[in-house]
Amino acid sequence: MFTYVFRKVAWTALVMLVVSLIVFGAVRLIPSDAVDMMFQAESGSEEQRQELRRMFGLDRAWYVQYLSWLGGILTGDFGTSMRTGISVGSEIARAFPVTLELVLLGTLVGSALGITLGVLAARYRGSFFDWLIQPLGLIGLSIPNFWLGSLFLIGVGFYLPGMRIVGYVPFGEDPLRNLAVMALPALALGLALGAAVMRMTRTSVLEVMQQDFVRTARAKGVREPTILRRHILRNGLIPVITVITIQVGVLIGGSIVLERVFALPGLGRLLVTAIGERDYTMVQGITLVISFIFVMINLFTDILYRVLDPRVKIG
Amino acid sequence: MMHSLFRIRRLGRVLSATIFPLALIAGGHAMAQEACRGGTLNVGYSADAVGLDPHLSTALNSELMFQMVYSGLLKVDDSMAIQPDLAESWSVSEDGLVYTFTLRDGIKFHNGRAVSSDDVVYSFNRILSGGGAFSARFADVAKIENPDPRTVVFTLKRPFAPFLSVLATTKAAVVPEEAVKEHGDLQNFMVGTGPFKFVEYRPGTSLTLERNPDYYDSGKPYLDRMVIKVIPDEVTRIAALRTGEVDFTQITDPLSLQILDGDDSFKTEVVPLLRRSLLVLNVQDTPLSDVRVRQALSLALDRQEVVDLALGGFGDISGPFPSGLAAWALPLGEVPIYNEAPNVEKAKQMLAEAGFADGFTLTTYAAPQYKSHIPVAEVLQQQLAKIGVKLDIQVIEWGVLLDHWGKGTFQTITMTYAGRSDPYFYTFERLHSNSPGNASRLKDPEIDRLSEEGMTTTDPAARKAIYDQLQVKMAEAAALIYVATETEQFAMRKEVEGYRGMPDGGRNYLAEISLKDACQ
Repeated sequence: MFTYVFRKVAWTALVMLVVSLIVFGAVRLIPSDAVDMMFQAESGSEEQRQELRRMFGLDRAWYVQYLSWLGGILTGDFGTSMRTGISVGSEIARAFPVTLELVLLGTLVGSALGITLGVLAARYRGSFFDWLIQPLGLIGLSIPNFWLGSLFLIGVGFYLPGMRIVGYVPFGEDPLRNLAVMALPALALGLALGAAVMRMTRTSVLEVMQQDFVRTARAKGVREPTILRRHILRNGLIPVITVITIQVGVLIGGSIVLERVFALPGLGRLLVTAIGERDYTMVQGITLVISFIFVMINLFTDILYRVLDPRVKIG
Repeated sequence: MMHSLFRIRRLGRVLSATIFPLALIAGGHAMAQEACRGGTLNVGYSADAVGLDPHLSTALNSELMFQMVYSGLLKVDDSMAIQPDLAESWSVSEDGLVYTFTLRDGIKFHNGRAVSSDDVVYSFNRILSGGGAFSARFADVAKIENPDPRTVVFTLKRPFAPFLSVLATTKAAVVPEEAVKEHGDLQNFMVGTGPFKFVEYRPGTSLTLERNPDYYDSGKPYLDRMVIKVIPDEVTRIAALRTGEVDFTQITDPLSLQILDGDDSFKTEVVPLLRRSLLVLNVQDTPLSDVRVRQALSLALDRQEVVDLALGGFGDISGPFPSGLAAWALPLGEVPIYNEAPNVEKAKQMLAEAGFADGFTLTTYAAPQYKSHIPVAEVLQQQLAKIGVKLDIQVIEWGVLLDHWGKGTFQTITMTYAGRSDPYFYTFERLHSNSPGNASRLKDPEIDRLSEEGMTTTDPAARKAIYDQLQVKMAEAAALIYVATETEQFAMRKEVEGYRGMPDGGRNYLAEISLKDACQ
C-alpha cells in the first residue's frame, strides 16, 4: 500500500514537470507577446518594445525564464501578471472558488437528477416513463451547455424580470445571493452530466437487477426497499460514481464558456483572457493549477474505485 | 446720446440678471431644466479593465473606467474640440515650443488634499518613466517646470502641433504621489480628481464609484453612485437590462438592438464613431507595389454597400479622414477616387494597364475578435471579384494578426483603426516612412514632407491647407483603402437622461447622466 502511494506521488510529480515545460513552450510559440498586445496597432518603435520586454524579463534566454519561473513555483510564488502586475497567485486564489463552486454544484445537480431518473427508469423498465427518458437523455447529451445557458437567460429576462442573473458574490459573503446567481449556470452545466449519468445508471442497475444474488435475496424474503438499497444500488452505483468523478474533469473544461455567458469571474475566463493578452505568467500558472486538479481527480478516482469494489486489488 | 444708449443696455442687463432668476423661482417646476439628483446607475460593460492605473494600463476598457475618476489638464468634448479640465487656460508661444497652463483654483484630490502644479510635474514624470506607447508621445518634451503652484510650463524640443490633443485624455491624469507610495501602484486603487470617487473594485465583476462632492464643476455629477458591471456576453447584458440589474449598457452588435424594438421602457442610442474599417495594403508586395493596382482596388469598392451589408446600415462611408472629424475632413467630393461612383470598367482597365488583365489572387487577414472585420472582408471579396481580383480571406487570431501587421508579413489586412482628435494620427503615424505605425511600408516623399509640416505647423489655417493636400495624396497613394466609419450602440432605461456619445469611443458623458426617477 505504501509503495503504491509513493509510486503514484512520484509519477504525479513527473507528469506535472512535463506539463509545466509543455505549457511554458506552447504559449511562447504563438506569435505576439504581452508587449505587442499592449501596443496593439498603435505606433511603437522596436526600441520602446524592447525596453518593456527588458522590464518583464522577456529578453532573457528561454531556459533562464523557465528555470526562474519554475523556481518561483516550487516556493509557492506564481509570479506577477504581465498585464496588470498583480500577483498571479492571488488572482488564481480569487477565481478558483468560483469555478470550484460551479463545477461542484453542476456535479451535484447532474448526479442527483441522473441517478434518480436512471434508477426509476430501470425500476419501471418498459414503461412509458422509461420510453420517454431515453430520447431526453440523448438530447441532454447533445445540447451545448452555453446555448442552454443563454436560453435560460433569455427566458428569465422575458418572463421573470425580478430574478437575479448577474453579480457574483462569494458564498461566504452572502450565501443566498451566491446560490441565486449560481443556480442557472449550475443547471446548464449539470444537465449534460445528468444525461450521461442517467444512461449509465439505468444500464448498470438493470444489469445488477438480473444477478442471481438479487433473486436469492428476494427468495429469502428480504423486503424490496432493502434489496434496492443494500444489494442493487450498492453494486450498481459503483461504475456510476467512477463515471461521475471522471466527468468532473470534463465539467471544468465545459465551465469556461458558461463563465463568460453568466459573467462569473472564474478560472476559465481568467485563462481565456490571459491567452488573448499573451500574459505568459498567468497562462502558465492557471494551466498548471488545472492540470494539477485533473491529476488529483484521476488519483482520487483510482483510489475510490479500489475502495468501493473489494474485488479490485490494490497495488 | 451714446452715453444714454449704453446706460439703457446696461440697465437691461441688470434687469435680466435679477428678473430672470426670479421668474425661474416663481415658475418653479414648469421652468426648471434642472436635472434630477441622486440614484445609482448600474452600467454593463463587455470587458473588465486590465489594471486601473491611468499611467500603466493601456487597455481600452481600463480607460473607460478611469474617465470617471481621473482628470487630465485638458479633455475633449463630444465634437472632439479641446476643452479645459484641470487647466482653466493655456497659451502657446509663437514658435510653438512653450506651452503654459494655468490650473484652476481649489481642486482637491479624492483624499482631500489640494492639487498643485507639483502634482502635475510628478504625474508627467511618472508617465515618462513608465515606458510604453503613451509615454512615447511625449518624446518631444524637453522639460516640465512649475514656476508657481498654479502654473505648469512644458518646453518642447521642436514644434509638435498635436501636443494639446495628446494631453487631452485621462491617460495623462494628475495623480497624488502619496497614494502611489502607499499602494505601490494604482492598479487596484484609484485616487483622482474626477467626478466620481473609488469605492470598491471586484476584479472580473464590478467597479463601484460614488459621487465626488468636491468636484470642481460644482453641482455635478448628478448621480450618487455608479456601479460598472462586467458582463462579457451580449445576450446576458440585454437580459440584465430587462431584469433591472443594469440601467445602461453598451451593445456591441448593432443587430442586437432589434431585441429591444417596440419595448418602450427602453431607449437606444447609436453613436457615430471616428473608428473606421479599412484595408491595409502591403506596398512592398507585388502586385500591390504598382499604384495603379491599388487605385483600381479603391475605385472598385462600393463603400455604401459595405455599410449596408457588413455593418447592417450602421455606419457611414469614409475617405482618408473620417467625416466626423469635422474641422479637418474634406468633403468627399473633393477627394480623388472617393468622389467617383464605384467604377468596375475603369478599374479593370487600370489593372490591364498595369499588366493584370486577367486579375490576380490577393490574401487578406481578418480576426474574429472584432465583430465587423470578417463581414467587411466578405463584402470586399464579392466586390473585388467583379474586377477579377480573388480575395482570399484567412481568419486568424488577433494576436497573430498583430504580429503580421507589425512585421509586414502580409499582403493585405482587413481591420479597423481607432479614431483620434488630431489629423497627425491619421497621417504621420500611419503613413510616414519612418513611423512604426506605417504598416503598409509606404515610402512617399511628398506624404513624408507634408505630414512633417502638418506636425510642426501651429497656425490652424496653414495646417488646414497642408492636411487638405495630404488627403488628396493619401487617396491617390491608396496604401490604406478606407471603407467606412463604424458606430457604437447603447441601450438604457427610458429614465436615464443626459448621455452623449463620443466619436472617439470615450464614455466621459456617463458622468453627466441623471435619473428621472431619482427625484420622484
